[in-house]
Amino acid sequence: MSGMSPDESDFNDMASLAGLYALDALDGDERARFEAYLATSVEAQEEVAGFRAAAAEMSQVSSAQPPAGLRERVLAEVATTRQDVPVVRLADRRSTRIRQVVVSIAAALALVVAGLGGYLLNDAGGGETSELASLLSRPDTQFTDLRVGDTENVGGRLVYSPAAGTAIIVSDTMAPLDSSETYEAWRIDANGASKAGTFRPDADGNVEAKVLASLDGALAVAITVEPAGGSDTPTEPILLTAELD
Amino acid sequence: MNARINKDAEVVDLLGRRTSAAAVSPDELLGLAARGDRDAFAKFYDVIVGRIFGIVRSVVRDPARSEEVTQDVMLEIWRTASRFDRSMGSATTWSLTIAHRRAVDKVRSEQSSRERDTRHVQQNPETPTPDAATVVVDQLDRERVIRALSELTETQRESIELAFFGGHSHSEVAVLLDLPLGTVKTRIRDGMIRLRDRLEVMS
Repeated sequence: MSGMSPDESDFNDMASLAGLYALDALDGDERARFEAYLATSVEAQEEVAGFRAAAAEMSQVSSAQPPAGLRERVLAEVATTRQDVPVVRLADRRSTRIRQVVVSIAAALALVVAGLGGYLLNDAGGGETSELASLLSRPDTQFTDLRVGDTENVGGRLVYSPAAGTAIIVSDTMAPLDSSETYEAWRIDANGASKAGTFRPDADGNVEAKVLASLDGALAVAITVEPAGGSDTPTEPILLTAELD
Repeated sequence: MNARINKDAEVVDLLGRRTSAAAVSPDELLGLAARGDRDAFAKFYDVIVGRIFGIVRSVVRDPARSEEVTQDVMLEIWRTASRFDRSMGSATTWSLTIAHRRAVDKVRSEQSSRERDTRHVQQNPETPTPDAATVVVDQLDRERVIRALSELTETQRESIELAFFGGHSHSEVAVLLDLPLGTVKTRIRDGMIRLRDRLEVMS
């Protein structure tokens, strides 16, 4: 399990697990590692979606009606259960399929202004505004789109300076969460996902969160919603993904 | 409680409750439910619960615990409905994905404390025992699935059925079928590709 090296054959091996994953036939560790890989591969996401649809079709064979009392109990609970708020609100995902290939400094700065109100759980001491400003002034700083699911839509940006070893997640479209949940960032590499800090947006959806993991050798940064306090492995769905070069 | 869903997807159960599922698709019902529409959620429940309870019971076996898991799953669907994204698949697929995973997780978390009876599954995993409460969902669709399964090779079909209906991990499937792990992986992958193409589930 620990002997994985980040070469191509591991990814081919990972790709072959899509059917097992869709049938929930992977064991705990394998599932977490496949999900980390899934966050980085649109092809794998499409393959899993097809297999899941096929599995759902199979369930017609086993269909059975539950005891009648269940309906009333479920609907009674529904009446007193608050729903989760939408996670990422973008005007219209399908009609705004615009990939912003080049992000100008001006656009990044506009995002920064929008993000100034961001409230950070992982904020060590209120210093990240100036940290972001100093990141923006560095010549090696990259701006990587955070893609929504497997779409081309942009839900924020990862501002990353490899030389400074600093990365900050900036967004103005993250839906507020209630207190039982948090956003969590993940460092993705060939060995899977590792924790990279939790954060919460402000009431307007602004986020400016430092990535609490080195991105040296990382393939991507992914963001999920987790129970308050964060999780040890990412919970589907992967909301946002920034693929690193 | 017998119910029948005819080709026009009108649901009528023995209490005479009617749901015009034809007028509003499951996708639309779940979309409405995501915005807090409890009536739409109740209709979605009527359309989906047989499929959910059926697969949960197929994996969990114990009727009382299957009912519990089904209740948790339906509540989770209500709570997280806003995460349903039509571009990623249908509401039916989304709901059944949640249900199957919850059922499998339930069984695996209990596995250490209880030996599972795998004999029944080994003998006959593909035909979950029909009982008086079994719903005849659209018979044509059912037959289409059974036909697609029958077109797989023996090993492909057995591996997929043990994993899906039995809730077994691929290492358990390998033990049950006395096959190398790599063979099971390949058979399941090949079989799923064939099933997906036969059932034409991709848009």
